[in-house]
Amino acid sequence: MGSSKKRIMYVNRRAPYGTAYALEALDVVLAGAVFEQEVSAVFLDDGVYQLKRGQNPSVLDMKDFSKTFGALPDFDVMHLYVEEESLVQRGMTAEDLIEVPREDDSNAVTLISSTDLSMIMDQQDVVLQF
Amino acid sequence: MKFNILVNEGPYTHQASDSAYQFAKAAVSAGHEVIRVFFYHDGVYNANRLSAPSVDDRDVVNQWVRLADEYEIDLAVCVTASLKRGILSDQSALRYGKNADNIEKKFQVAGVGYFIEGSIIADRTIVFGD
Repeated sequence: MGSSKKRIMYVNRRAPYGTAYALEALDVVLAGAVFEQEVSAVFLDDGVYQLKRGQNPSVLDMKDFSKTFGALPDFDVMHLYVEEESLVQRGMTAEDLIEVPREDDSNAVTLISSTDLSMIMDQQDVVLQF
Repeated sequence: MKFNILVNEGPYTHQASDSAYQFAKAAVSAGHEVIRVFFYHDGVYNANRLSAPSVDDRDVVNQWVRLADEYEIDLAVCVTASLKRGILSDQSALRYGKNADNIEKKFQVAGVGYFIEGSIIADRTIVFGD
C-alpha cells in the first residue's frame, strides 16, 4: 500500500428506506474509516432524503440511521456534499436537512452545484456509488 | 492495470454480476490484473453454491469460480451482508446453529474493509450495480 492517501468519495443516490442501499453504504463508510483516507460523501437524486431532518421510520420497523451521519466527522468524513439541484427538484432547502457539526462547530453538510460537484468528483481517486 | 471490483446485485434478476464477470474476463484477457471481486448487498447471492440454473442458461456462480481459478482472482463476500441473507459458510452455520451452509468455497468471507483496502491498492475500482 502506498504512503499517500487516496481521495475516496461515496455517492449516495437513493432514498434512505425502501431499499437497503443507503444503510449498507453507511456501513461501508464507517468500516472504511480505519484506513484513514481522504473521504467525502455526496448526496444526490433521492439520496438527499437521507439527510432529511425529523425522520421517524420506527413505524416501518426501521432504525433511524440519519443520526449516524452526525458521527461521520469522527470517522474522518469532513464533507457531506448535497447537490443543490436535487434538493430544489424535491422542494427542499438546506433548512430541511440535518446539521452535522465538525469539531470547530462548522456544518459538514454543504450545498453544492452540479457543476462544482463534477469538478470535485473529477479530483477523486475512487468514486463509490450506492 | 490493477482492478478492484464491487458487485452489488444478485444473479439472474440483475445484469450487474454478468457485466462484472464480462468486464473481469475482458480485463484479464487483455493482460490486466483483477486483484479482488467483492460481493455486497444482494451481490452476496452470487456465492450461493446451491444455485441450479437450467442447462441452457449461463451458470453465474460457477463462471465466477472458473475465472477466479484460472486467473487467481480473489473472490470475497461481505460477512454482515451475507449472514443476514442466509449465505453461510460452514463455520457460520455452526456458530449460529443453522443446519446447513451454502457458500461456494472459492468465495472467502470478509469484512467490507477488505473491499476498501482493495480500492486503495488497485489503480481502478469499478462498481457494478443498478
